[in-house]
Formats: sequence, structure tokens, C-alpha cells
Amino acid sequence: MKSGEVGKKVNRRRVEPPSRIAVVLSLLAVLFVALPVIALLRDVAWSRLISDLTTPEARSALRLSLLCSISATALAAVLGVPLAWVLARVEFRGRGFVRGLVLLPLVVPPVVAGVGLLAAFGRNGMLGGTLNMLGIRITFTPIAVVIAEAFVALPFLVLAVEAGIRSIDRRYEDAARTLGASRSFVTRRITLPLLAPSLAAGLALAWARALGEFGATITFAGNIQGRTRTVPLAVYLLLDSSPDVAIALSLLLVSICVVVLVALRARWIGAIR
Amino acid sequence: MSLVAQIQVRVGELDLSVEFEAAPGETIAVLGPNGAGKTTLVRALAGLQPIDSGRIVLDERVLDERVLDQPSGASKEIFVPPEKRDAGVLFQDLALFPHMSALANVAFALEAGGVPKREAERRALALLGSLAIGSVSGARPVSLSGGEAQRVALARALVREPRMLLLDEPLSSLDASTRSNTRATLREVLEGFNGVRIIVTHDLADVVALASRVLVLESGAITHHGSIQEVLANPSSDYVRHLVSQNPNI
Amino acid sequence: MSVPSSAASAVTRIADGFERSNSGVKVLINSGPSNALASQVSSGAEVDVLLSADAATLSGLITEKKISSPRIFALNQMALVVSPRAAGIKRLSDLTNASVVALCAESVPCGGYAKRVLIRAGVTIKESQITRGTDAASTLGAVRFGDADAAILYETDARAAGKSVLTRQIPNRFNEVAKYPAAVVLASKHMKTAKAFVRYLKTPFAKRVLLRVGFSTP
Repeated sequence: MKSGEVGKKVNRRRVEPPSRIAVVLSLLAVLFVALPVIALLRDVAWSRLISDLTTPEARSALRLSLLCSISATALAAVLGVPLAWVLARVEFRGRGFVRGLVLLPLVVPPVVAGVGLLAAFGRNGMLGGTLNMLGIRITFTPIAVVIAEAFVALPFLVLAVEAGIRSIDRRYEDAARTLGASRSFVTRRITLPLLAPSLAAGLALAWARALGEFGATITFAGNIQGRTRTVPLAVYLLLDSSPDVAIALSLLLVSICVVVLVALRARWIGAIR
Repeated sequence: MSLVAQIQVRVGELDLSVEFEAAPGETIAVLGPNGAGKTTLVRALAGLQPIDSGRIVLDERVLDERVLDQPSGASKEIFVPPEKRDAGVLFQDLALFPHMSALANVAFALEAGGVPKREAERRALALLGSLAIGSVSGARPVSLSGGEAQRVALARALVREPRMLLLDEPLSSLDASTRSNTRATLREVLEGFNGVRIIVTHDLADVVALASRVLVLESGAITHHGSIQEVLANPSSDYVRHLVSQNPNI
Repeated sequence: MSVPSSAASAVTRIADGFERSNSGVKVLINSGPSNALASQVSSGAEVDVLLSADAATLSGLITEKKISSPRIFALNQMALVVSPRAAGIKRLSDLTNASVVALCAESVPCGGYAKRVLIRAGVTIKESQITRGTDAASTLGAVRFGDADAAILYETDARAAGKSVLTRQIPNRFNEVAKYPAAVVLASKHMKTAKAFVRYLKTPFAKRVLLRVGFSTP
């Protein structure tokens, strides 16, 4: 119940300083995450960084990683947003089960997920006969990379978007309809804009997950230079033969992720509340 | 423009069953305590709550009709969705779109009907100006005062010049001084409005200031119906007696 | 004890025998691709005995004086493993027409051997046809469970895969002999037992186990 004037937004608040334990644990947490990154920075061969990153193998892996992760995120969005909508708004029997099913890729080990994808889409797989007849082979192609990455990224997107949809007050949509807005107008002008922060967070998380995917990719899509050897796969192969290039590539991938995630952080925190 | 309503609907524990008519040019107040079904009534008229049986007819156009199955097996069902009912609703919590400015909120109603953005904004600005809040047109709802937000919500409900205006507790969230100011504005606006006007409130002062006729709604049923003088002079329920005793100066 | 994955099952059985003959001794086996095993030892992992699928992988450790001089305990050969789906592949030269061939990563011993076999046979496969596995097991998996048409792997892997794959012999003039060395890690805290195990690898029991799986012994 609002009482009296709402007034202008009040900016000053008395904030209690955090307890010492909280500060110490927080610092430890930050260190935990930052230490590997700092260590990488230390191990980089700075003088050769540019040449290491511009080898044909490195460039091929980078191009493949960026193209496939973005496509995978788009695929996850196309599949995930309607699903999130249904899970958030439609009551149906087995809804909890479906939600659990969609979260499966989160808990299944990626290699196991890859084996599953093979069993479904491989030449000997469930759909293998049909695909063969149509002359389509999915494994060992970038399409397989996109599928593997989308598979593991989907739950992140659905989780974030479902939470976002649930948090939209229905009364805004009700009000919009009483003002003469059709359902699609409401979706376009009210629901989607209000959903934007959650959607952005979901997309960012999904993309980051897709970018880093290894196990499902190498099992389902294989490890072919220029076709399926994304940066994580390339790094793994290079660890012994060219550790410097491996480290340089790793650092580049981490940097890209950090830049994107920092840029989105404000919306992000607002969305996953 | 007139309204004929026979509404039976059950929502949760509440059984709402009312029957009334409203003529143009008169403001009807629906007076009742919390939980009486006032908001449900507003939602049913607005089309956000389909009725279980009865009919709602506005200007001879059926908005909602549900006749229970006849023995012959035939049943009639008509439901016009909210966006096609041509009603303006002022919600209790205003429901101003938080991601849009005050101007955009009002213009939204016009744009939803196909009016081009520039024209919609022009008309919206004019209306805001006539309500003395043209100066806050660019502000987001979160930074408006209670009274300002109220007027924006009112403008938004009015801008399409709908056939029916439904106001749900329009003044209850304001403090005393703002309330009396806004009440005065509301009175002017209502008098200038041509269609059916229904205002829902639990505040007797609102009823007296704004309405010509009152329906007393208690636990889903109408217990009094008539002009204010009639109802106050002959209270036939504890609730009305209680209200009268609380407001001796009326 | 660190064991390359191509020898893991055989060495596990040999270790069982070792435990039975030496009561009180427990052998813990860590398996993986030889290059990874070697770098673990190099970074100071607590390993007592290090086995490898080729001598080259151990050369760094020898220079760093981290291991004793290695002794070869088993020999392996390469074979062409073909998926039943691609039965048309009968010899190495057919690989140029295969859609996808699985090979171990070059830094892994079986990858190095496969490369030399192909060079000897004068067969060139395009990069876009090659999928690299991180070790022998996953490379075999690409043919057995995945959609790769063929792989160049150890005899022992081909034998282990049994009927699930078709095995084609590689002519001796093209083939490589893989020499598996065993070494004691000098930082070991169980030096006596470690040396005993390396010796045990030469016993008739150990040789029987190795032969049964498809290795040959020096």
C-alpha cells in the first residue's frame, strides 16, 4: 500500500558496513576465480602473442568458435524463448517434468551429451537412416558444432528467460489490453521490452557456455581443422605441441568473454534477482 | 451510451452476483468494503475476467454473454476481448508502464489503435496539459509523485475517448491533501466525459463528491441501490450504518 | 603408476599379478595419453613408474634427469581399423577417398606413428578429412561409435574392438613398430617396489598377458 506521496527517488541510504567474515570470504571467492586468469597472463609469451594468435590454425579456430557460438546462441534462443514462455505462463500436466528435462544438459557430463547426440543424429543413430536417405550428414560438420553447443547452452537461456517472464507483472499486460492493444501489440511493446534484461542475461550466459563447450563438441562433431576444431579443442591439442599458442588462445577467449560479460553486468544483475 | 449488466462470476472464494444499469451522463459509485468484489466487477466489465453467466451490454453491443445450457442443449456464448471493448480503465495500482515516459504511456493507447506516433504524442501531450501535468510528460513513472502518476493514468484511460470509464479506487493511495486536489480534478473530468462512468471506492467522501448514484456491494451482492441521499438516509445494512457514523459531516 | 591408454588394460592385469605376488603392495594406475602422463611427471606429480607408448615422449624427462633409463617392455604395430559401414576401404591408399579418417593428435605417440605410416605409404589425407582424437581410446571411439570411416591405430586396439570394426593389415614395409618403454621416476618414494615392477614386466606372466592382447615382446 502506498502511503502519501511517492516523491522523487531517494538516493541516500544508510548502509551498514559488511561483516569482516563476509569481506574475507568474498575476497577469497574473487581470488578463486581470478587466479587462473592472472596465472595465464603471467605465462603468456607476450613477444610472440600476435604471431601466435595469427597462425592459420589459431585463426581458423577463432573464426569457427565465434561463428558457431553465435549461431548456437541464436538456435537456443529460437527454441528456448517460446519454451520459456510456455513454462512460465501455461499450466499443463507434466510441466515440472518438462522443466527438469530442459535442465538436463546442465547436469549431464558434456561427453555423455555428445554420445547422446551421436545416438540421435549419427549415421547409426535414431535419425541416421532418414538423414542418410536425404543425403545429409551432420557429424564432422560445423552444423554438428552448433547443435552440440546449442544443446548445452539451452538450459541457461530457458532458466533466465523463464524467470524474467514470471517476474513481469501481468497487470501491465492487462492494462495494455484495456487500452486497445492486441495481443501481438502487447507482446511487442510491453512484454518484450520488460523482458529485455532477462533475455540479455540469458543470451550472454548461453553464448559464453557455447563458446567454451568441449566434450560434446569433440564427441559429436569430431575434431577437424577448419570444420569443427573450435578454440577449446584447438587449445587441448596444442597443450603439448605448442603450449605458448595454447595459452595465447586461452587468454584471448577469456578476454572476449570478460569484455562481453562486463558490458552486460548492469542488466545482468537486474535480471537475475 | 448505456450499460446493462447482469454478472455472475465466481473467483476464488468470492461469488459475485449483480445486476444493474447505467445511463450516460451519470456517475455510478460502487461502494463496498475490501473483498466485496469491487475489483472483480471492474475486471469483468473490462473483459479481464470472463463471467460465468449473465450478460454485459454496452450501447446495445454485447460484450459478454453466457447463458447456461438450456434443456434443449443450446448455449449462447459471446465474449469480446478487452482490447475491443472500448473501455478506459484506471487501475487501483495505476499499472503505468515502467519502461515508458508519461507521454509514451498515454500515447500508447492511441498507437495501439493505429494512430501514428507523432499524432498520438501530440494528442497525449494536449491531454496531459489539460490535466496540468504537461511538465512531467518526459518523466518515467518511478519519478512521478502520487498525484502526478494518478493524472497520467487517468489521461491514459481517457485519451481514446472510450464509451465507458472504469475507475478502481482512484484516490485511495493518495494522502489527504493530494486526495482532495485530485478529487476536484476528477470531478471536472468526469463531468466532461460523455459515456458511462463507474467508480469503485470504499471512501464515502469520493461517493458524495463524484457520483450521482450508488450501488453498495457487500460480499458479492448489491445491498443498496439508489441516489446517495436515499442510501444514506435509510441504511439497511451494518456496513452503511458504520460508514455513516464514520462520516458525520456528510 | 602412469600407463598409456593403449596399454592400460594389459598393464592393469599385470599389476593384479604383481599385487598377488607381493602382499602388502597396492598398485594405483593412472592412464591417459603418453604426452599428458609425461608432463604430469615433469610438473612433479607423485608417480613411481612411468610407462609410455614411445621413447620420444620420455626424452625430455631423461634430459631433465627425472627418470631412470627406460627399458622396452612391449612392442605394438599399427593397423588400419575400418567401420563396417565403409567396408570398401581395404588399403591405406583407399583413405584418400574416405569422408572422415580418425587419427590421434600428432603430439600423442599413436598420432606420430600413424603419420610415419602414411608418409611411408605415400598416402596424403586432406586436413578437412581428418578428425583428431586426444588419445587412442577416443580415436577408436570415433570409428566404433562415431561416424568416422577409418582410423590408424594400434594392433591391440583393433583386437580389442573385435567384431565391431573391420581390421585391415598394414604391409610391413609401411608399418611402424611402436616401442613401449618403462622407467622408474627418480623422485619416487617407493624406489624398491618401483624397480621391482619394472622387472616384473619381463616375467613370463607379464609377457603372456601382453601377447594375449596383441602386443609382442622384445
